[in-house]
Order: sequence, then structure tokens, then C-alpha cells
Amino acid sequence: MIDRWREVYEREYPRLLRALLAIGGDPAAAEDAAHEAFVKAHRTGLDNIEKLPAWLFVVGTREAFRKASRSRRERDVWASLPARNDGFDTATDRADLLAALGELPERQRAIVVARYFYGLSYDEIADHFDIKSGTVGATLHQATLRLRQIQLAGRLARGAMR
Amino acid sequence: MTAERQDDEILGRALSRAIETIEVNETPFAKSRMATRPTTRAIFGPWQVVGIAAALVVALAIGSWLVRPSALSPVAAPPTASAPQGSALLANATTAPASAYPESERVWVYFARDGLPPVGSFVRGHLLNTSPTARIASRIAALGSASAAADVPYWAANALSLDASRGISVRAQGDTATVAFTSRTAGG
Repeated sequence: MIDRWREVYEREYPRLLRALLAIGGDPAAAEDAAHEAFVKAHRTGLDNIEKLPAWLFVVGTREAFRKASRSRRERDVWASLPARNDGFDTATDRADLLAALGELPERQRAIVVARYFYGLSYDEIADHFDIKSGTVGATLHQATLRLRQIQLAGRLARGAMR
Repeated sequence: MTAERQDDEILGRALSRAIETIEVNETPFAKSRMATRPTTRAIFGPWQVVGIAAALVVALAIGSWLVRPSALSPVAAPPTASAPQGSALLANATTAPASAYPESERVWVYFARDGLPPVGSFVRGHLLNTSPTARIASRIAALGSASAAADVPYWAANALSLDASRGISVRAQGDTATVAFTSRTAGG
């Protein structure tokens, strides 16, 4: 059984941690929430969980929401989020995107990550976050619109500084 | 798929790749909280514990309500707390009431009172304390031979008046005692 959990952990933990970091922006809080999600999963039992990745993501997100302090610290951490150095422009774009994600309201961030990083369907997101499927679509639309605006503003600002 | 929706998906994929590139501190499984914390699953969850506690409280409340002392149901007073005669003795209820008979020639019995709890009093007789059946038989014999004027307390009545010599049989089985006797007033 322990091997099964090890396999699940090694497969899901990095993904969950990245998702929670993208949502919350605080590495320590993301790590804490991810561990808590796994502890809860362990208590619940693998056989009692349907679609474990989504389950872990939702539980981890709730933990992160619960523990997240809405202080300025969060935004400061967002600004220093690291990106893999695989080319200046690409890395800048990614950093812009992550920074833009950090500008979104917490719930929008979670829904965006659930949809685009975890690949959950509208219905699954609606079910897990206890909202209507239509609300998921509207939220995602608002979020991507806002992401584009922020990203564009970042590019313009960088262009002006060159 | 509309162009706008397609743009959203493209942005979403780019975002997904961006998230994938976030460098994280990957705690190895052996050091994970799941592996280090004792994770024995509790038999009862917190809400189940609360539910059980609430059920116990309700059961105790119902139980205490059912066994509450009732003013309407007559109960036998303990010998030390009862007043054998009149209200004058009530003030000294914890002491044994005085008796005209010496200790070896008296038996404590209870008399019925109309609408009131039974009242205890000493009457002349010999208590045979060798066995439960002997004790019951000697009490009934003493009760049957109690004289109305001398032994029966005020406001109490002795419905039993029997000839003790006519034989009392007591049979005890567990907590139940079966008593057979012949009473003069009962007509045989």
C-alpha cells in the first residue's frame, strides 16, 4: 500500500504544488496545502476517491484559500516567481503570464488553473467549486480577458523602457 | 470553436506551460507529511463524535426524566426518615422512633395510608432474620397481630388482621417472594 501512495505522491505532488503556487503565490503556503491535501487523501483512502488528481487539487485549493493571508506579502512573492531560463523572450512571457495570473481574484485563479493546468471540464469545475457550469465559462472568459490586458500592459511597459 | 474561444485556449495552454516551469521544492515522499505523520484513520470522525455525544446527553436527559421522583407516586420511606406517629416526630426524622417494646420484641413494618406514602412503625413481634423468607414471614406475622390502638400509626390503617398461628408460607425465587396466608377479615 505504501508503494501505491509513493507512486501517487511522486506523480501528483509536483503538479499539485505548482498549481497551488500559481494560485496562491506563496511557496510555503502552497507546500503546506499540498501536504495537507495528501494527508486528507491518505485518511480518506485511495479506494474512496474518484479522480484523485482533481480531488487533490480541489482539497489543496481549499486548504490554500483557508490559510492564505491576504497580505501584501502575497503580491511581493508573485513578483519574484522564478521561471525556467529557456530563452529570454519565452521566459519573460511566462513570467508575465504568471504575474498576470497573480493579479486575478483568488477564485478566478483557481478556476483558470483547474481548467488549463489540470484540464478539468466545465462540469467538473462546477461540481468541485459548487458553482453553475455557466458561471465557470463566464469566469474563465473574464479571467482570460483580464490576463490578456495585464500581459499586454506588461509588454507595453517593457517596450517603453527599452 | 469561435476565434475568441480558440484564443482563450491558446492562452490557457501558454499559462499551463508557464505553471509547469515553476520551480518547486519537491519534498521526497519519505519526508512528506503523509509519510511522517501517524495517519491512523480515526474510527469516528469529528461530526460522528459530536453526534454520539449529543445522543448520550439526550439519553441521559430522558433517563433522568423517567426516573425522576414523583410527588404523586407513593414510595416507602426508609426507616430512619419516616415518622411513625404524628408530625411531632418529623423534626427528628433521622433518629429511630421510640418504641414501647424492647429491641428483641419488636419488628419494623409499614402501614398503608390513604393518599399518602406508607409509614413505618415498630410493632410487637420477633424478627426471624435467618433467611429472607423467614424475615418476610415474621414481618407479616407481626403486621397481622398488630393491635390497632397501640401499634398502628396515626392516619394509617392496618388492612391485615390475621391469626399468625394459622400459618404463613413464604417462597422466594430470585427477586420475587410469594406469600400465602389466611386472613380472618379476608374470609379465608
